[in-house]
Amino acid sequence: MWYYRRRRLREVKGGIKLQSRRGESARSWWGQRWNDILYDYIDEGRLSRGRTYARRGQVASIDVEKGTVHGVVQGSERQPYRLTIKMGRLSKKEWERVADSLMARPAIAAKLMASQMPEELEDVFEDAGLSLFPKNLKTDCDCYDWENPCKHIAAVYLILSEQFDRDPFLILRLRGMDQGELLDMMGVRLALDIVRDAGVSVLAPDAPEHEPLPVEMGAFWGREGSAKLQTRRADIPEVAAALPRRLGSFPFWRSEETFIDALGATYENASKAGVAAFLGEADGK
Amino acid sequence: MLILHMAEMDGSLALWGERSGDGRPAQKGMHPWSATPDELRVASIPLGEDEAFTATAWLPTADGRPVPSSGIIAEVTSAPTKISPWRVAACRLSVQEAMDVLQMTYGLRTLEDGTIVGEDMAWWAGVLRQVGSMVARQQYLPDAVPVENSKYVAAWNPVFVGEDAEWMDAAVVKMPAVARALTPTSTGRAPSTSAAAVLWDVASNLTDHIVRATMQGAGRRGRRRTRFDSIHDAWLYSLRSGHHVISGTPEALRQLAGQIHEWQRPIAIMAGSPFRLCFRIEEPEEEQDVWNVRYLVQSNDDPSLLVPIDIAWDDAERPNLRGHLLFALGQAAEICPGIAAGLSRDGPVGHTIDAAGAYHFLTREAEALRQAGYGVMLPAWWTGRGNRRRLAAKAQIRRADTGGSGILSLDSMLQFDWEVALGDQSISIEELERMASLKSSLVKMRGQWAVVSTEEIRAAIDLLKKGRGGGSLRDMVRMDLGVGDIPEGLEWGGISSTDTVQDILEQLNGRASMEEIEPPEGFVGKLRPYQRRGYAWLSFLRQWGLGGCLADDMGLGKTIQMLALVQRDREAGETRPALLVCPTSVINNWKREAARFAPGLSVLVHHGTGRAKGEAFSRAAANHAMVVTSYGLLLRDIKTIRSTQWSGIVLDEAQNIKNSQTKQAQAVRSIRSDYQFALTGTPVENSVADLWSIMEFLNPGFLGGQKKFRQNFLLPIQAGRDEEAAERLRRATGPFVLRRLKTDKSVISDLPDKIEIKEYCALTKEQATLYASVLQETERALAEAEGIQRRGIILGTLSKLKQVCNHPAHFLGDNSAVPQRSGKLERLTEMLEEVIESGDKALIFTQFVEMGHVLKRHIQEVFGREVVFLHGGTPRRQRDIMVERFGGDGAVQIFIVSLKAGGTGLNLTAASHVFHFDRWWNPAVEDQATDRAFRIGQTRNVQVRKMICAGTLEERIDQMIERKKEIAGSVVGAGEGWLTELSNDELREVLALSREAVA
Repeated sequence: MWYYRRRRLREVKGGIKLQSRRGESARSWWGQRWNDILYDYIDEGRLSRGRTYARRGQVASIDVEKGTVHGVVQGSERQPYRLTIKMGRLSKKEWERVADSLMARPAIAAKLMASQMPEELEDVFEDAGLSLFPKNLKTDCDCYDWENPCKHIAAVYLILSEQFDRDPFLILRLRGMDQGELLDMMGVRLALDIVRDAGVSVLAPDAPEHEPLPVEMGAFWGREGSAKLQTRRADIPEVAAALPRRLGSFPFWRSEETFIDALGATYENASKAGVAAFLGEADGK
Repeated sequence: MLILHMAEMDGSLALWGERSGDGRPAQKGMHPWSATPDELRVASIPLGEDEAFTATAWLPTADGRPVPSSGIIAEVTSAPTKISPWRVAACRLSVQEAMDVLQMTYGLRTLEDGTIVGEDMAWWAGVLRQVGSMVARQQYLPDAVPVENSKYVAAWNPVFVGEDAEWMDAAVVKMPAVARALTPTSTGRAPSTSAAAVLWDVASNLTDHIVRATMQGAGRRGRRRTRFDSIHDAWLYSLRSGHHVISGTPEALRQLAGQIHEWQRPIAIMAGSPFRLCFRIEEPEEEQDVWNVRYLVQSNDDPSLLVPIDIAWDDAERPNLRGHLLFALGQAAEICPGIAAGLSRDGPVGHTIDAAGAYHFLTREAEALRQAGYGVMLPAWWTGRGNRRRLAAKAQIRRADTGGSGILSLDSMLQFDWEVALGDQSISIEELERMASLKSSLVKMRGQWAVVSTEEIRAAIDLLKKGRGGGSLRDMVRMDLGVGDIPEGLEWGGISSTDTVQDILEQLNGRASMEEIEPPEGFVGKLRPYQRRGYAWLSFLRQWGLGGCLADDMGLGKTIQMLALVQRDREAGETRPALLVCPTSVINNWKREAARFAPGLSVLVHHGTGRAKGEAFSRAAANHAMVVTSYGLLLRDIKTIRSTQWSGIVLDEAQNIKNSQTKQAQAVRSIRSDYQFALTGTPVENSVADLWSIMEFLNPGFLGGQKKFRQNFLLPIQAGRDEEAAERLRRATGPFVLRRLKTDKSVISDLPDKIEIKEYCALTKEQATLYASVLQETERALAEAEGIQRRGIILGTLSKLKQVCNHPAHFLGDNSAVPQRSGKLERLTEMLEEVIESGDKALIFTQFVEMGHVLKRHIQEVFGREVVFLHGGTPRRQRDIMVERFGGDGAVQIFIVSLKAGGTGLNLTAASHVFHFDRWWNPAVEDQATDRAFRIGQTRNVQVRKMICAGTLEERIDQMIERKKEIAGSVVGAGEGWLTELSNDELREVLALSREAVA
């Protein structure tokens, strides 16, 4: 006797999850605009199943290249599906026009650099004779669904729309431009572009490669009292983990633990240890 | 002598040292003064057993020898010409070990006698303090750093922006190069890693260690987990466990690094910006509620270059500037939403906020912006110390209850009405309620801005509704000084009252000057004007039963001010004795000063083995005006001492109780008396913790318990650099500490150019025994000798006795241990501590070259500072170098001279202290020596001290010289020759040892 066996989704450990639990995945106007493009192409059923996939964390990975998104989505089969979403990349010439247009409207540029998406950005593109959002998408998935876009594409697509909330540069990257390159075009030279040796953090200050030891006695041994360093205070801030909070949520965070929750307690506890080291009372216990 | 050094080597810190010695290396290529591993461990440094190994130190070298870091190790003869490798013993330290060692050195020059903290090590200690501060302030981020084999380690890395970036720049410049001069022996090339890179490596290791040390399970135990749901889980695991290497495929790790990179990008851009964005808040004009926040741009290279942002917007020459400013504004908008609003127009130059917004900006956003590296300029009325206008509670005293006696004391009860004031204006309930309805915390009252939170207004209304309060005058004094129980949430606005209460409060806090009073009749000396003021101050506090700390500079006469007070007390009818506690080395001095200036005071010295105990002591004490004892005996005889009735307790060299946990401090606090005074020449007010201990002795309970004190003052001041708390503490303790410097204008005019002081010291038991045996021997020899032979014996005896008075090691000539064996040297050491701490310079004269060497070694070991010693055998060239290094800004503070001619032609006017450690008994020679420091052109006062062992030949011969000087007005025959003319009986009397000589 035949019966219909409901095929269960295979669980993905550490999959990327859609954070919104109900309704529209994108809160921002540009995220919604992005979703609108998808809604033009997809039917209600696939969209709804795609949303369920995204909420359950079936998206195993997303890799954003210039102009192309590679996604891996776990369905009920053993093998996960691989898919790509492609959109039209702007040429370098076109981007230069955008940069010029941006520099003419500094308020918009500043918002953009503050990781805010200025609504006028579409106007900036229009001024340059271009459009911010692609007119059409090329999507491809290796699943059995004959319809394109499928639910897997929808799942990846929806997660991207949520990422837009924190990173307006994502849409620009999808259009073929890195934040660094764009800022460069706008005349903001980035400290980050300095190449670091292995073993050195980007947070390390610039340092000359070589600095021979001086032979002069004062410089070598330090004159009496001259090497004294002043640190005047070590007060514990009222709001914990202000620095990581200011940097905002981590891109494509994939742990069950919320990023800021994971760090907050550490910062709070370490503050006391810092004061102890400052006062000379840190015994390492 | 050992000088400790610390250097970075392969990412960790290593300890090594130079020690003085014969300069013969253990092996070829070995550093001739390298400390051995055992010597490094001796320095009470908690090292494990296995760290010892050899390293190569790349050091300035001349004539085939490394040039030592200081003359303490060996004479620096010529300037180095090159950097060469020398093998040294070095201990590689774990991060925690390095922290333990460095924390021990905080603020110290020597770890123990003879172990000196090198400049490089002091610098590393400064780095640790900075890292501690940054961790406390949470200026660090989680990170992933690539290492070999495309692996990554998780790390907590410091973020140097704003003030911290400035610190970094300064630290790189100040780093002594020796801090990066160590390599493993296998390295054949001199290290050339830059100071900045070395500093970063160590600072990031320290940061990571301190942050992880607070986590549970951060230890290395437990198997390493390798399976994770995501790369982010793996990263979190490595950030919070002992396994720092992140698990993951190379591809996943590369992607993670990219994400971290992207996430941290704003910080990196800010750190790399050549400009700094600044914000200035401006109050509204007239009655509008519009506050302006203006934007300005400051150059990082030249901070004096500060221009309004509109100039920068139009700066065509710096195309980068525009982009950077936009970026900085964008980032600042995350902290300060007002900026985001301002971004809606092109080329923003500022934004406006209302009073509520301004309050938020002042109290919150300003600090957050500063932390993030922005400049913030706030109005003076906000930042101005002390005069920040807030609602204050005032007490209007109505009635004092003197318990029928009519005499006001600290225990008299007072009743008062509460008032509330803003600045000096009283405010009514109605006005407060109107303020509350404004819903704004910034209010303009009579043309002045003030900060008033709703909680404060609530508290003020409650207080006015309550209306009345009461308390003792002691409570009022505490309140007036800002340490009383002030109504919750309000500032203290002071007390208004009439007459007596007002007088005492105003005199205490210095608003009114103290009434000068005549010195007591039985006081023989003459008080200088500043001493009369000190005496009046002591009398005032005594009258009110309050304690005080007289902290005048050494040489200004604390002793006689104190003696005048005790004398006055006796004349006013006090019959109980006062207890004076001092170091053993000055007991004799007190006795002699009392005899000289207040001969009417009977002084009992409670010291030595024959001292009275129990009942006998109490009886003996009751018959004297003053009992002098040492800190050591106080502790031993505390029971007896506690059961005696005292009028007051005076602590000399009160820094002895600066640590409140010591038995001494506790013992002293357990004795009951009417008044307490402390004398010290070292500035107690500089150390917050020491201050509590001394105040707790002077005025128990005044600053609150130790825990509360730590919370209210110690932590905010030391950790938070809280100016307000520091000011509160100054206000609360100021009335009880009187410190005059010899450079104060009001003091300097009262001082003679040259103060001559005789410093009476005691012998140790060992010295007394040696002294007695020399006498015995002389006695025997003299019985049989005559003529030339007799002269020879007498001169020899004089010399031997002088040596014994100087130091047993001097007499024995056996190069034996130095500390704790000579009363005279102990006293000299105590006084030198004050000289060195106040940055003064001193000359020490001795007629014995051997003693000069003992002094040099001892002083160097105790203070860790180079001491120069000039004697007949010093080559001319070296003598010139010594003189130069002592003069002007030279680093040498102590100069020892042993020259018969007193060093004619030497110009040593940098000295403001002269010590004659032993005596020529020839005033002309001594004056000539003194004149090395005191001569035309000398601008400071010079204090000249002649050190004399009481009850020995030193004191008696001194007395004879003084007498003869008075009678004949001329000098006794030069030198000691005249002594040989004395009869045996006379001689015996001169040389005898009296009981009191021994400490």
